[in-house]
Amino acid sequence: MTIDRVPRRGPTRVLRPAVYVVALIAVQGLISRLADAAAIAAPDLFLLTGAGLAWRLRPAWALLAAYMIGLLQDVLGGGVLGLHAAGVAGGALLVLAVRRYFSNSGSVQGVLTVLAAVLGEWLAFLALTYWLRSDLVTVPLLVRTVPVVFVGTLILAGVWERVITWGLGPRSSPEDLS
Amino acid sequence: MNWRRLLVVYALLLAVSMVATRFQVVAPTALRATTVPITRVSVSVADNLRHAYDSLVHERELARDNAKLRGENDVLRQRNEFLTREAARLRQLDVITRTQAPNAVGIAQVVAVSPSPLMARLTLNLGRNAGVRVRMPVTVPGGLIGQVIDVSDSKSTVVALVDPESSVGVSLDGGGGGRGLAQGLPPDRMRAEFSASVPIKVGDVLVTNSLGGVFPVGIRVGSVEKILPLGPNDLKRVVIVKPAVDVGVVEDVTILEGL
Repeated sequence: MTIDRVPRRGPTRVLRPAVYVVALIAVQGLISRLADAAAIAAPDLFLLTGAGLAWRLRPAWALLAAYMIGLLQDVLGGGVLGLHAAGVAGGALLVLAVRRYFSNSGSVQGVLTVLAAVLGEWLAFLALTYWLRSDLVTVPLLVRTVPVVFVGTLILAGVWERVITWGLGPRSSPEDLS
Repeated sequence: MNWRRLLVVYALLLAVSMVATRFQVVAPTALRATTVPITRVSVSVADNLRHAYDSLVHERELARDNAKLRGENDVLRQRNEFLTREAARLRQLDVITRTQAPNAVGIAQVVAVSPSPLMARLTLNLGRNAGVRVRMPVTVPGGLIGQVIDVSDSKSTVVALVDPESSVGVSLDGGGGGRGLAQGLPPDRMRAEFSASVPIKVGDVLVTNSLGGVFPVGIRVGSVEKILPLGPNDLKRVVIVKPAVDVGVVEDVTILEGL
């Protein structure tokens, strides 16, 4: 498990990720509140964090870390544990595929990252919905919510990537993937 | 990147989630409580932002509504002013037809006044087309204004009582008798002559009489302000009369049929 160019020693190594998590909770709360008032689905910064981890950690660790981020989202949301965890991890899995097959630069890669993350998350939701035999995810929900979440998350992705870089370090080089 | 290993890892994680969701595992509330201070700040900031935005939009709507209502208010004020003046004219006409003469031709507005410091003449917005003719008396409820001396199709000219060319027969009000002639004394008084035997005194009210056959009898002309001393050879008593109506402020007048 490596986080490149983040201080390997000293309090900053722990402090920055901790501050990042606090900022993640605060900003997501702010955005969700505003989005609720506007009656639209909020952009998912936890998912962006999972995607960011997929670009920075070794793949297996990235999946685990993304799962933990999703689990934090479940805890904060007060819902059933494991739902968002599986979703964020699913998103990270598809982002790992993007990381594997696309170069680490350019806007197309950025769009693909968000697209893969949203797609992976909602595929995981669908899998769990089928598993639970519930109507957790419905077709109208997919039609109304997923595009909004994708667009909102894509809009914030550029800015939030800088925050991730500050808190968790820059993206890994391609040779770190193996 | 070992995809098989990755898929196995994800499958394991998914399995954990499936078990957790199947058994409805919920995190203790105490865990969430640790983040409440952070989320409370977020909610407060978001609410303030939303309220600020709402206030901004609301203020714009209020300003737009205010401008619209001001416009409507101006229109209604104008309409109200018009109706008020119309009502005043009708009241004036009613008063005049009841107290002065029943045969009013109509109500006219003063549209011009003589610029001369000597002459006191008014131009009215009714003329021959409205039935106005020369020598018709012009009054307001307060008293006599003068008489028409010139008429065009749409305008007429009135010589006021204080004009030096004005002359009107007057008597004492209330059956006081006397028969005098009041002539204009610029800029704002009249000079009336009475027989020396008429018991006239300051403050007496003068009204029109039938002298000259122009004015209906009994229309208030003015009040005696001053009595000039009677000389040893004077046959007439001269008084200064203050007109009952200040022609400088009248806006609407009533034109009466002559006798």
